[in-house]
Amino acid sequence: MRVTLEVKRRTHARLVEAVESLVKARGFDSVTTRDVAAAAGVGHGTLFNYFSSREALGLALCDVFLARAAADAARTSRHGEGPAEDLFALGAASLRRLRPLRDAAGTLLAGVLLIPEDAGALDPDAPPGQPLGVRRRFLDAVRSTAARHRPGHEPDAATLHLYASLFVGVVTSWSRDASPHQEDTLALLDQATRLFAAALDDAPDRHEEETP
Amino acid sequence: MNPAAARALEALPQGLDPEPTAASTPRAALARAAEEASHAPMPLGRLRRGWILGTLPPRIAAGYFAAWIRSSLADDEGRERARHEAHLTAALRCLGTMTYLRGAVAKAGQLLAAWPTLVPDEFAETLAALHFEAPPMHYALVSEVVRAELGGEPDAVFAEFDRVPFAAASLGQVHRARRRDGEEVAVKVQYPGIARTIRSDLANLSLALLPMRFTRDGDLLREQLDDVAATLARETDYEQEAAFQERARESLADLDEIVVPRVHRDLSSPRVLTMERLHGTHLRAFLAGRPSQDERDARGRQVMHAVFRLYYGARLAYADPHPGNFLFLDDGRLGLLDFGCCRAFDAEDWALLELMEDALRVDGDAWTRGLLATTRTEPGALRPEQERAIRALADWMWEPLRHEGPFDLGSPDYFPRGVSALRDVLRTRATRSAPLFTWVQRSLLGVRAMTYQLGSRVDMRALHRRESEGAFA
Repeated sequence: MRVTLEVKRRTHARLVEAVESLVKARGFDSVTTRDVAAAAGVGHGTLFNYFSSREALGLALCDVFLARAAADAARTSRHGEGPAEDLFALGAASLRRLRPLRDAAGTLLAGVLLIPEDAGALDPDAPPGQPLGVRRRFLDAVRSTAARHRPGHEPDAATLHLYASLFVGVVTSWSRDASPHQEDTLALLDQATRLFAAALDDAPDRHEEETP
Repeated sequence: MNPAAARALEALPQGLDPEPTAASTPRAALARAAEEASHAPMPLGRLRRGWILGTLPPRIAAGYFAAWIRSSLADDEGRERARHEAHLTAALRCLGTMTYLRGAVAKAGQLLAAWPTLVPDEFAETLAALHFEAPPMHYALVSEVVRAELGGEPDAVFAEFDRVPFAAASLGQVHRARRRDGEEVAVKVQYPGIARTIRSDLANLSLALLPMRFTRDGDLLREQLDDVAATLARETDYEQEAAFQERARESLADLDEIVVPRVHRDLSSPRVLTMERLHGTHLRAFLAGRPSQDERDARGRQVMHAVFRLYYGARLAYADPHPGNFLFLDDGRLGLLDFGCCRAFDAEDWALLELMEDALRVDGDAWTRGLLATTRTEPGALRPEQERAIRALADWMWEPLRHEGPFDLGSPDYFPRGVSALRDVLRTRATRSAPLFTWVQRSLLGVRAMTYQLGSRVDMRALHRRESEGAFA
């Protein structure tokens, strides 16, 4: 029997839903691919047609959480006084959504957010969980947040890579943050977003560059 | 260098340095180190809005900090002294690398400005203005702190919450808000993580200063640093501040003319402090309204009454009595704000303070006993000119309390004489004192400076007699 694209999408979604509920119930470390397959009602072997590893499943969940965070931030955004504030709000929303994956998110995201844009032999239109898709969606949210304050002035690839690095640093530090209410992470996120906003200000103005 | 900073560094107690200043002297090296420390990049990024950790005040404070520590080296000679100066220079360079220390240094600088009259007017104004300049937390961060501390975003926890702060506070900022029951409140929000970072930075500084522990007065230096650390720890804990505020409120409850804002414990935590909001004006605006002499007298009396009551009644030194902490309410009452920088007296402190009062009140043995206790010295250790300088300062402090009837605290003569007495104390290096007295002196001088600016005439003797009666029984 041929598996249609629609069936594929549904199975993919079921697996992601399964991993989400399992991670929320017992944490990523205690979840196996066998558990996920069983919870989604698919064979263990079938799971690997969709996700190459347990980490790929975790990454797909990160992707879902980050998309929700971007939606949260867009919904609650009161348009802060500058990109630093809006990016902080996006970052804080991301940490809130990523909380069930707190222990693992830094490692999972480092593997995809820090790869260069042109390294992907992977399909850019691949469904959630594919590394390049995760990175692209993550940076799109950053780009649109930054563009709100500098319409028509897109941050260049190097500036965006700086943001990805800062964010991975914050998430990694967060996983080990023993301070009350993880207040150190809040401070770090604040400093990281201010640093990035400063880099945005210092970035060459593309319009000026293009002017002969 | 910023001209104000240059003037402040210039104003460092010259008497501490017995040798002429030249570019190569340790003094110049120290000034350079302080300057370098103040130029190191701010760890918080591009915060340029004159917060407590802003650029100018720490720059000035670093200079004072150097002077303060140097005073402990003043009696060392020659090579020894140069060696200690080198250690100190290294320690000052550390300032630039420590995360928040310059915030702590700014605070230490304010402590040193317990000798406020040595400070140029411009510096005093900068410090005064500092307390009202816009602080750097944007609303998204405030919102996260409130959510973490109170369990919901400001909009959910309060009926209204101003996104823009109206004042800077101890390492944070203050927002206007309205409770769900309609009451107007002021909400202090602290920058996340700053309290613990300052503690660790101070610990690092203590380590950096370890080589100085064998110097004369090294023990006192260490003790003073520990005291600063303990006070900063208290100041960054809003629950402790709430406790001081409630203690003060209770102590002043029967004085209709004075009010301390009520703390809303249900909306407070170690990093968020919610309190009743008072409406009024601060000193500068009050004076701009050209108040009559009667009004000036009344306000000065309220200030003195409040501070005496806190001291003798609540056994609390209101150790940061700068103009920003006094609010002249529209209904004529005086509001006391910000109890972050308070020092509570325990039984041992109180015994020491009793000795001090006895020493000031009477001559002879009581003076000697008090002097030895407060300066932590052995009989005969103080040189005659040192003892004379201390005596002159003590007499100046006590003068209004000996005067029958209203004393003119705003007279052009009185306050400047205090400045001169203080200079003599520094010139003769009679600066040894138990840490407790740093706070007492700070409170006392701050209030005298405030009433000097107010130009008030107050019957200090009567007020003091009434408030101190039975206090040492």
